[in-house]
Amino acid sequence: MAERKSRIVPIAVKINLIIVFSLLAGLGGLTYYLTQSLINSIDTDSRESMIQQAEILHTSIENFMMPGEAPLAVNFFKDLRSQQDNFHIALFRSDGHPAFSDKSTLMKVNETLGVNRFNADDGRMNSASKMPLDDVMGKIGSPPVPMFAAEQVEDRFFYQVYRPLLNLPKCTRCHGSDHTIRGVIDIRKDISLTRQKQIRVLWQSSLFFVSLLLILALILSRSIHRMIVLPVSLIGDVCREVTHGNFSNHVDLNRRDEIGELGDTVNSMVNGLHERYELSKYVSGSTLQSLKGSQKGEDINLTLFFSDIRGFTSYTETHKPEQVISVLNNVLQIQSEIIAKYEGDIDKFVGDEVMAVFSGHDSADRAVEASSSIVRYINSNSEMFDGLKVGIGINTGKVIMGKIGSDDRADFTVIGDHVNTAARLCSAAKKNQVILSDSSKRALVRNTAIKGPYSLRVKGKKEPLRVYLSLAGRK
Amino acid sequence: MKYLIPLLLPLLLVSCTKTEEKKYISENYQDWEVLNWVEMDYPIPGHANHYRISYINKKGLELEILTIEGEERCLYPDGTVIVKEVFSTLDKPRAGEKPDALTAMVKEEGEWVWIVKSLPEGKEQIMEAAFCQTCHEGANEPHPYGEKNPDSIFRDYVFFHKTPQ
Repeated sequence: MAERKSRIVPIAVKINLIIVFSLLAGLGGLTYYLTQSLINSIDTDSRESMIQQAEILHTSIENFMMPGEAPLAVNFFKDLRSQQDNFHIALFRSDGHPAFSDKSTLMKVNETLGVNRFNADDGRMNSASKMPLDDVMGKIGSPPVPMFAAEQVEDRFFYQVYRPLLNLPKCTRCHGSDHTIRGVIDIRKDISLTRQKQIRVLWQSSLFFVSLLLILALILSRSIHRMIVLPVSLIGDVCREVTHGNFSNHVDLNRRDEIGELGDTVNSMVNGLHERYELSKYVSGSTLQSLKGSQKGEDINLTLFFSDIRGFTSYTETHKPEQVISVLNNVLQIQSEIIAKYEGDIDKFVGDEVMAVFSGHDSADRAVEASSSIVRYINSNSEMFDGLKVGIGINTGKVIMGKIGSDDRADFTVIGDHVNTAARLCSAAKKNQVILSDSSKRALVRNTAIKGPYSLRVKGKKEPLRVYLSLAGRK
Repeated sequence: MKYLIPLLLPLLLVSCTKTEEKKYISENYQDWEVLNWVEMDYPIPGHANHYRISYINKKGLELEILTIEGEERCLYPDGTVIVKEVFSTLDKPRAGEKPDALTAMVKEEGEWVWIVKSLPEGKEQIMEAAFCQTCHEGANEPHPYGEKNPDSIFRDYVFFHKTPQ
């Protein structure tokens, strides 16, 4: 099953989301709190103000009524009611009838006093309709206390205060003592306009909040984009180029913060990678491979390749150093390229000598083919190499491969008798000769033009070696 | 675990301990002095058409009469309890007749607490002070009850005193 590729969520989107949510939670909460506080404050003020007004009215009624000046109270109420359209004041008796709307109270007072002290003056007050008795008592509760209510009638809003008018001991002289509540002061204020203002404030706050949110989100997202997203993208671009082998790009942030440090670190890393990449040209593949894996020694079957420039010592004595180096590099360069082409691995250059190894089931074939190709190329391009020729020795066998050297300086190379034999064969090879050992000849898996066997006595071996010459280089 | 038990034990004890509701009205209030030297067999606002008998505890008899800036002021000490029996009608109760309810004024930290105890449930309820106090303010000015307080002396919200009579 194909692995599903996870979709990238851009960091800019995540950061913007965090910013918007943070601002929504923070500024939104603050705006809501402040707006609610403002509205509550207005509501509380209105409520307290109305209760205070009810208390003032209550005191006024007391003061009018105590000396028996009911007409003054009537006129007082009339005046108040005519002053403001959105302010309604009414006084109800405990039976629900509007106070001063009939003669019943006066008659009761006269009866209680036992004298005809008050004369009914018809039409004093008022046009208010009777309030149901249950309503009067229900509004003020039990025990009766000032009550506040918020009511909505269609699209209008009202605050209402019901202030009980108690039958106080001083009232009982006229009104009798058989009842507790004389009536209810009803103050109603139309707060629709105030409510509209509150709603307007809410809308304005919301609009302000949304505008502020957008502006802050824009500023913050732009800042974060510039401070974080862009540098990260730039670092990503540089890293992407490195994966494609381009080490020329560097992160140029000129920043003195964590991202700047990251950029510097990436630059150092790119430089290090570049150095290692360049170094890999001068280090054998097996060495590089060993760095990835175990560095312990191991027995391994390889074909060993040694080449050497014939007559190079005398050449160095008769030519200028720069020419010597130039020609030597030409010889080593072409050998390197051809060995790499045949999947060989340069183990080391020692002066004009090249040591390489070939691994695999056809290692001997590829070593012989590479050798022949080298000989042919050098012969075909003689002027490039100033007439110098190489001799090559090839041997196949088990060698010891491992890290050899100190902790500070080491090679990952091969050692063993077969290595020495290959070197001896190389020393024995004349110009353009490719000498194979018997083990290499036996390791060949393809048809390769060789001739032999020959018997070759080499240093360090008691018995002469059975060797062959490759003919491929002569084609 | 060894830390858990000492931590939980106090919580367990607290949760098992029932908080006793404060009782303002003593069970044996009828042993106290009867306060009304005028028989309260007439209706009054707040208590309507109910016969009433008031009692005052011993602490309440320590009423102080102070003269402050030339004005006489009565002051009941903290701990004063005045209990008023409220009967079902205005008729004088028969011997052994139980009242319908008790109302009480209790002086605490210089302020009156107003209580109603419905009978026979026996549950005491603290009243909204404003309602009771509004009427009882009348005690501090000339009023139609008892000796009527003609000199408008501050009577500490009590209409009938054991003294002066």
